[in-house]
Amino acid sequence: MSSYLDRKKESIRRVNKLMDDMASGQAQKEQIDALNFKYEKLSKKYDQLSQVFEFHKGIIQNISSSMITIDMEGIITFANKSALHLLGFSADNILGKKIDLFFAEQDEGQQIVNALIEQEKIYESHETRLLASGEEVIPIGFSTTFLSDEKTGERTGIVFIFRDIRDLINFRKQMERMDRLATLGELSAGIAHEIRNPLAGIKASAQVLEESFSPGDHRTQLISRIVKEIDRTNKLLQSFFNFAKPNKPKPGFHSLKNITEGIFLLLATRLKRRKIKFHSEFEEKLPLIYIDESQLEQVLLNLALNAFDAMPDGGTLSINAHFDTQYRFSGVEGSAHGAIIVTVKDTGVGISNEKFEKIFNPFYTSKSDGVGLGLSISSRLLEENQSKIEVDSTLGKGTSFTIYLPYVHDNRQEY
Amino acid sequence: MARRLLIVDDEETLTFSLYQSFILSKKDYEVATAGSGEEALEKMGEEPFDLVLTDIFMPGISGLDLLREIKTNYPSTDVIMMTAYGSSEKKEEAATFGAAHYVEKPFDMKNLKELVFNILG
Repeated sequence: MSSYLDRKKESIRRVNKLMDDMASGQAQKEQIDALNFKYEKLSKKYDQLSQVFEFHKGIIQNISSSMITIDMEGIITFANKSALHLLGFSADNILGKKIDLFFAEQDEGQQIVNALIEQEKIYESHETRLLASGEEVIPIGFSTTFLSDEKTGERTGIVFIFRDIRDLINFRKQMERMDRLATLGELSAGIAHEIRNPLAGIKASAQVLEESFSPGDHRTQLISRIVKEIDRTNKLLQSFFNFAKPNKPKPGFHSLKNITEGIFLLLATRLKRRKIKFHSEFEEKLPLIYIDESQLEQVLLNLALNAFDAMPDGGTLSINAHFDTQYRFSGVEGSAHGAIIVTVKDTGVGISNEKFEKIFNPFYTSKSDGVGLGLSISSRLLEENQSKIEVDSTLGKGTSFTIYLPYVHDNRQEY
Repeated sequence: MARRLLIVDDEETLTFSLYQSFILSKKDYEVATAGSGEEALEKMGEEPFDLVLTDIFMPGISGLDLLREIKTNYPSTDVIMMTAYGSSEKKEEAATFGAAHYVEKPFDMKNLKELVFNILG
């Protein structure tokens, strides 16, 4: 009897166990399903996050602004592509180094870093100079923000965002110069009046007096000297006004080749007399230039005459031109692309370093009979024509002036 | 009848020497001078002139104002403008208002006299 009962008990236990097992199997299945669901969700989230990460990384790496981050010890922890490009270093050369080392003046760098870390100062459009590879000093404008731990709010680092401001500084200098020149122009008109009026009176009086003497009279000769000196003074005034207040350019499309040929004709006898060879070379498909023809002539003539003086024992004067489609004028936005680049080169005595900075200044001259306005007028005239001039020289070898004329598309022009 | 010439400038040295020069020339000219545009108009009101030689920049009535006034009221009077400013804009302005010529100071007496002789005969 009991064995029968035992058997039944055993069956019931088995059935119960089976029921239990079935129930737990169901639970496990549910658990697995839930895990699967979670996995899918997480993996989607992961994809999304890595997309966001790549997106942000792309932005940070590709923005034109340079970006460097440092930790609270001043050690560089990150530099984006633009920053590495600007400084001319690879990431290995920068990461882990103190940021002070990359300032042109390290004291200033330390002060900035100290102010950031210790006084929690924030810089906005501050200007300083960095030291790039090859000892090149680059002026920059920078701003800073703090990195902080999201949970604790504790500062963990500093972001430097900066830009190369060389173009901006050049542009600013140019503007300041234009400002000064505008004032000078106004001033010069007044001076013109004040000086030329008495000159006119003196000259008229002298010439009326001259008429009362016979031509051979020594008094006539004295008076003609007065007149000559008045004319000389007036000529000087004229050059000065050309510089201070040049006539408004009247631009048109012209062939640089024709202009150069005109200048060559004008100088031909002098070239021969001074044993100077003339050489010119123009790119075959050089576009027409849009400029005030007579003003450019004046510039090229000034440069040629300077070259003559630089080659007292003869030499070669060459004028070459080519079209650079990629050239960009600093401070000019947008479509102002391309320049016709003209070089006027001599094989003369050259210009020493200390004179280099000054040659474009008015009244600076190295010639005993010069007024020192030729180059300053030239550079002024080119400025008025949206062009610019640069100089390069080697003492004893020669000087080369490079003129950049902006390319203006001429609809009538056919290549 | 003698031809009449009026010289207008606030620079007395200049009007004096021009006056001398034209008086001494062997031409039968009546020459008068004025130190301002106002004085010039006053003198023209008394008796007209054949030619007025005037500075552009003068205090009060300027040479260009004077030119306009002359061209309105005395259309047969010729005008030569003189200026110490080398500005081409003024030159164009003077030409549009009917100035016969435009000379820049300091000028050559010989050239100026030729110009005047050509106009006055």
